[in-house]
Formats: sequence, C-alpha cells, structure tokens
Amino acid sequence: MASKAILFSYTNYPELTRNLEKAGVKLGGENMLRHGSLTFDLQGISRAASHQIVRHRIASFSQQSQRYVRVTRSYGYLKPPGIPQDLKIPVEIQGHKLDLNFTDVMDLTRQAEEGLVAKGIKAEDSRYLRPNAATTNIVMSMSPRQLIHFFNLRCAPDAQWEIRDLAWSMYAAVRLAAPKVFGPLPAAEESDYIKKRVSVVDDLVRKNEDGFSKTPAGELFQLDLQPSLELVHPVKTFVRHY
Amino acid sequence: MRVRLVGYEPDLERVCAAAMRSCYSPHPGYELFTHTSQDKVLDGEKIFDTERIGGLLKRALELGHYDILEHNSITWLVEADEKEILFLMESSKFFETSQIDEHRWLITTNLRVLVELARGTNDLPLTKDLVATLNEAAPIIASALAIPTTKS
Repeated sequence: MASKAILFSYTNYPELTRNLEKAGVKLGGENMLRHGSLTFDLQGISRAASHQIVRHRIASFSQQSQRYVRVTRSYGYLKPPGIPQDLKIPVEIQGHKLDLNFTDVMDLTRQAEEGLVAKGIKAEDSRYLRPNAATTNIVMSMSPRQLIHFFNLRCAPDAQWEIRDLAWSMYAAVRLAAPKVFGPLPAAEESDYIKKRVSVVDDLVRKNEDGFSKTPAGELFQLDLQPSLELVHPVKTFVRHY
Repeated sequence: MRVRLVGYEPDLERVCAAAMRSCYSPHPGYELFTHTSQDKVLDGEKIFDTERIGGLLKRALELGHYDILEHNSITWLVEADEKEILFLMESSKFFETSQIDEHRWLITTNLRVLVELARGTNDLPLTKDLVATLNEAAPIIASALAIPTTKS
C-alpha cells in the first residue's frame, strides 16, 4: 500500500483575512505565519519515518497505538527501494541455514508477533518484535512557521529519503491550499537542489489550481507529484477543498 | 469589540474526534473523519455522527486526554493591554501573538488551551471572553463544559 499524505483540515486564510479587513486590519499572508494551523493525516508511513517526524516537538501528533490496535488488523510494512526485492540474506537459526529476502524477514516477524499473541502474551509485549519498517498512521498539526522549519530541514538533499518524500508532498499540498501564506522555501537560497524542486512545485501548483478550485467543497483533490518531483517512493498526495 | 473571533477550522471538533479514534483504530484519521454515512463501510467502526463525535470528545475531557484537542487553531482580534497578553503567554506554550497597534493583538491558540483555561481557576475578563467563543467554534465542548455565552 502506497503512503498517503492528506491535508484534511487547515485555516481558511482568505476568510481570516476578510474578517480582519472588516475590523479595519490589513495583514498580508506573510504576517500569518504564526497564526492558524494545518493538519495532515499521514497514512502507511514507516515507524522509521514517524520517529523522525515526532522529533519536531512544537507540533501536535495522534499516532496509531501498537498496544490497542491488534497486529492482525494493522500489519503492513514499507520496503526501502534501496533494498532489491530478490536480494537474499544468509542467516543461521538453530543450526538451519536459510536465505531470506526482506519480505521473508517481515513475514517472519509478523508470524512471531501473532504467535506470541496467540500464546496469550499481551499485545503491548508482543509488539516489541515489530520492525522499523512496520507502517503506522499519524495525524499531525503544525502552524505555518513550524511547517516551514520542517520543510527547510526535511526537503534537503541530505534528509532521509522517506521523510524527504513526505516533506515535498506536504510542501506541495500547503502551497496549493494556502498560496498566500506559503511561498518559496528559505532554504532554496542556499541549495540548488531545493531551488530546482521549489520551481517544480511552482509549476505543479499553477497547473493544478484550476482543478483544485473546481473540486466540490469537502472533497479531496489529488496532486500528482510524479514524475516531476522525482520522489524515491510513491506518496499519494491529497488536499481537501473547502 | 474586545474579543472578535476571526478564524477557526471548519469541523474542528470532528477533526479532534477522528484524531482521538485514530489512536485506537486500524483505520486512519481521514477515513474516520469521513465515515459519516452508512454508504461507506469501515469495519468495526461506528458512524462518525454528532453523537459519536460528542461521545469521543466527552471521553477525552473525562480522561484529561487533552492532546487530541490540539489538532486545530482558533484566532481572535483582541483589545488588550500588554499585561493581559503576557498572562496568556505565560499560561501556555500554545499562544501565538502579533501586535497590530498599541491596544490590538492577533492571538491564536488551540482548543486544548481553551479547555484548560475554562477548567482553570483564573477569572480574568479576557480569558472569560476567549473561552465564551467556544460556543461558536466548538459547541459540543462548550456544552460539555457548560460555558456561559456572556459577552463583554
């Protein structure tokens, strides 16, 4: 299952600006960076990525519990594209020599975790067998200022590929949802890599703003980022239209 | 005008309830958020109607599970002096303020902070006025906390 980034709740900045104008206050989008919030539902991302995401502490998170959601109902994993599907790893267990690929190891840990649960071990203990590749769902909210900080760090070429792909997906989403608040990334001034991709996002937003504005209220609009953003793995990107 | 509500996300109580439920469900937050009619089947999940949302939010209030109330923002234009603003900023890390002119401020915080202020012991007029706007932005929470609708 492909990872998804869904921007499903965010401040209606045009309305906020209008309400302020009615009260005689004129503020541009650049004055709104500390005000309002944007909420994403990140689905099917690895625990390896979610651990990095929650290090951005000035944000709010609600993450799927491994204690309360049974492994049999929630198990999935994300294979890094850098590990070939057919690459075999030689292992030796109890005198038996085996050649396992990545998928086999995932299957093994799932079977072991389910086996522990079947033997009456609590889910909170059995889940200690869950690998970093195991997928999770997390709802995340940040203010524009916090998001820009997140993008500056995580859109960079040296960021880890999964969180970098997610960061570019989220950046494209907020550019479409709140174009007056989010512009080019400050980090683009120091990095050609970021600068080039920001201009790709500029084009993507221009091409999609018409389709987005015609999306019925409350429905999701899908932004196709590939192949232009050259993501390492697919991230389906959606923005809810108000 | 002392406190004028100028912005909050639509459906913010449904967002918070979906975030809460997403911690305990195999289904992700957005799927729960949009599970509003029988047309869409989510295995093992109740329909996300007003009753369900109210039930989840009231449970969060009972448990003190306030973090789920952070998935939103509420913004006001406020007439206040610096001392009042300083009090707000000291009360929570979630207050963001911009000074417009000598007496006016743009203030943003989230539902969690308002609930904590509503349940707190301070009875400053500015706090009361901010909390009173819950009746518009978050009517289920306002009714659960019995927030008076008084305006200054």
